[in-house]
Amino acid sequence: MTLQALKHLHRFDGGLAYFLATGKLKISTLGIHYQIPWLHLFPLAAWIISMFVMSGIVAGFVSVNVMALVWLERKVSGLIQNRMGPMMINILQPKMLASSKNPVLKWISVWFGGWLQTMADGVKLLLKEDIIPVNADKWVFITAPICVFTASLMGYALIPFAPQFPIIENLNIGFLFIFAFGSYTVIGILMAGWSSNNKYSLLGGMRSAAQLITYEIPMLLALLGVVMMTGTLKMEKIVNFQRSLGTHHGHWLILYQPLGFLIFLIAGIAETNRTPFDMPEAESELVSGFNTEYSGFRFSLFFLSEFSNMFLSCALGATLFLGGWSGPGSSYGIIAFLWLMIKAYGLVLVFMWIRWTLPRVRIDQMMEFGWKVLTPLALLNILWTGGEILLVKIQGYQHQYLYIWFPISLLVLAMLFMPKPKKKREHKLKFAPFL
Amino acid sequence: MRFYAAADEDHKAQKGNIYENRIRLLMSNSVLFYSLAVLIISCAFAVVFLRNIFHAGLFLLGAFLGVAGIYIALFNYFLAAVQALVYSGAIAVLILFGIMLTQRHYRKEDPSHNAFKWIAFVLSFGIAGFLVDSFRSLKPGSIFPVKHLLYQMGMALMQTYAIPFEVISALLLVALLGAFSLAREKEDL
Amino acid sequence: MIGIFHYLALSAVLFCIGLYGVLTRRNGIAVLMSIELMFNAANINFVAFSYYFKGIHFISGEVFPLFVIAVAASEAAVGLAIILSLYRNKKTVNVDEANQLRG
Repeated sequence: MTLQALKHLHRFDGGLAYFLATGKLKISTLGIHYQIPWLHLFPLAAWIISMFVMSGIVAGFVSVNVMALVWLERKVSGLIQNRMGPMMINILQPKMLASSKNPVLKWISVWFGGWLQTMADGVKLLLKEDIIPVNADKWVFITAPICVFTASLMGYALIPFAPQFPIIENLNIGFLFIFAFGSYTVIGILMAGWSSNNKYSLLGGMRSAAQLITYEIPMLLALLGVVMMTGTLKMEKIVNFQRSLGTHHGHWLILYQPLGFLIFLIAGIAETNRTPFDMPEAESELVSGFNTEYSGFRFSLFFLSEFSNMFLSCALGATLFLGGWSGPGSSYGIIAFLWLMIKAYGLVLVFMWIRWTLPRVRIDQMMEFGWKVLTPLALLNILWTGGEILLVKIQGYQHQYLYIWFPISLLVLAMLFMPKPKKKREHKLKFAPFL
Repeated sequence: MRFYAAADEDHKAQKGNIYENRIRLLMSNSVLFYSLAVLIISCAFAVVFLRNIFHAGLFLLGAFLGVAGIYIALFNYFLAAVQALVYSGAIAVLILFGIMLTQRHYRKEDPSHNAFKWIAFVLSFGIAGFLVDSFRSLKPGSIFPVKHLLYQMGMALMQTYAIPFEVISALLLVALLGAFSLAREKEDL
Repeated sequence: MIGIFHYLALSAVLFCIGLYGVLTRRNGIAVLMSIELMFNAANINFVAFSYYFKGIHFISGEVFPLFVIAVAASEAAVGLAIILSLYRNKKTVNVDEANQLRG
């Protein structure tokens, strides 16, 4: 395919979804008018086929992505906490590579060592015995992982990976759809906790429900700021809005909504059950919580949905706050896709950095943080966004300067409301022979 | 200024939405409606008749999902999202939570329905039959899909129904406080 | 062809199933669930009417379910709080065992 054709790849009418639903491929700039011969005669069949193809694409994308994510997580944990395993396991002889003086070989061994670990994990999980406990509520036990996994897959239909790409394109409720289906994750985890007939699982499930509901509120309130500025819920339109701001490639909304982005990030970590908020599966307290009784394929579904949820919330954050697919050269569909992936993976790295650095908080600390800190901050963010819009709409303020004005005012406000630091308690050591 | 510019474009893009056309097609075949109706009614029956209260709660969730599908069939996506978000994300979770907290003293030999169940059965399904029979004279009627629905709903909430909207928010706050004070463990008593 | 009749019939049947549940279930939480079913039936009616009949306030039918959902949420919260405090005091959630106030 020539570069010219590549450039117009995303410009066929209605995008990929339209092509799959109707069989019509029309690229007017290249003079291509193609229709799959029989498909328009059976619109219902075409729709069903397109649904299957789409879900296949999403599932394939998610599984490949999760493999990369798991590998990345191991690498990051290995880097941060000096873990040996993930850095070394390799089909090429690792010792020889690591000790070689060739810098290229050494680089390969450090950064690509351990890439087989994910594969080994997957094979191990699939080969394990599939256990359903005797006293378990059988059908609920079986349905729970499917429920969680489906809920995590549904969100991908809304993410605009490239211009005109989103799988469900013209849905006017936009990213509200992701949250609507995200709530089924909670139900799935509750089902898993209840049906396992195990008090640790039950505790994990109930903790998870409390946590997810608590952090959904600040998350949605933080995203309300974005909706107020852009005036739309559609992801595609939000990306285009960010491109239209400012001068060159547009301004990212994080410049106008720094507080909103921060709240979104923290709430996203809590929503995806990652440390420091991994209450539901706290290994040391609840022996991994709601999925204690799960093994084999069902456990791997939980595992998969956890990572795909993480990537979903990162992609959502990248789209809403970091400009989505826009960037230099994003008129080429594939480069636009790469831009989104780079931004999303950047956020993923932040998530992993936080996970492997911070310890787990207590459950009461977590709930207090959600209700008493994040939710009021999100409300404050809405107030500030209203002020911004007022300045732009009524006062005719140049919006290019808003992003300077906003963080400064935020800083002043934070200094005003900052609690006074407590006096450091003096520890008087009575007997300290080794200090 | 470009703020709010996107909202105006939103209205133009609604024409020629392939998914709405597909939904119309499915509705004209009645496939969508009848599958949703079967889902809702069977889930509702399960809610009412099942002995296992946790299973009943899960089937309630299925009924909520079916009703969200009905809203989609009527092209109110926003209401469908709110239904999924609030009913299954908050209310159903709350109910399942309540079930988990109170089922410790669950006795299996207890009857799940009271003594009036046959009278109530005849009464309520008699009413249902009467209602359905009385609706039969209705003509299918023509449809009036609302243009720019999300925009109009927002305007209605902020203009026509501004006072009810505020009252509802006060109600939610009062309910929050009331629920908190009711469910709190009292030290003495 | 699906008309207003189908939606009204569906909602009537749903409402009456909920009514049966409210009248007969002993578990308080099950009563709450049946009430939620009745709310949903009412909401289906609102949206269907606004879709099939054009009046002066034709947007009301689309907006009113939002209010109903908010009321349902607060009702569920208060109802569950009552049931929890009943459970704490009497170790039961059956509504027909909460009859202390009867003379």
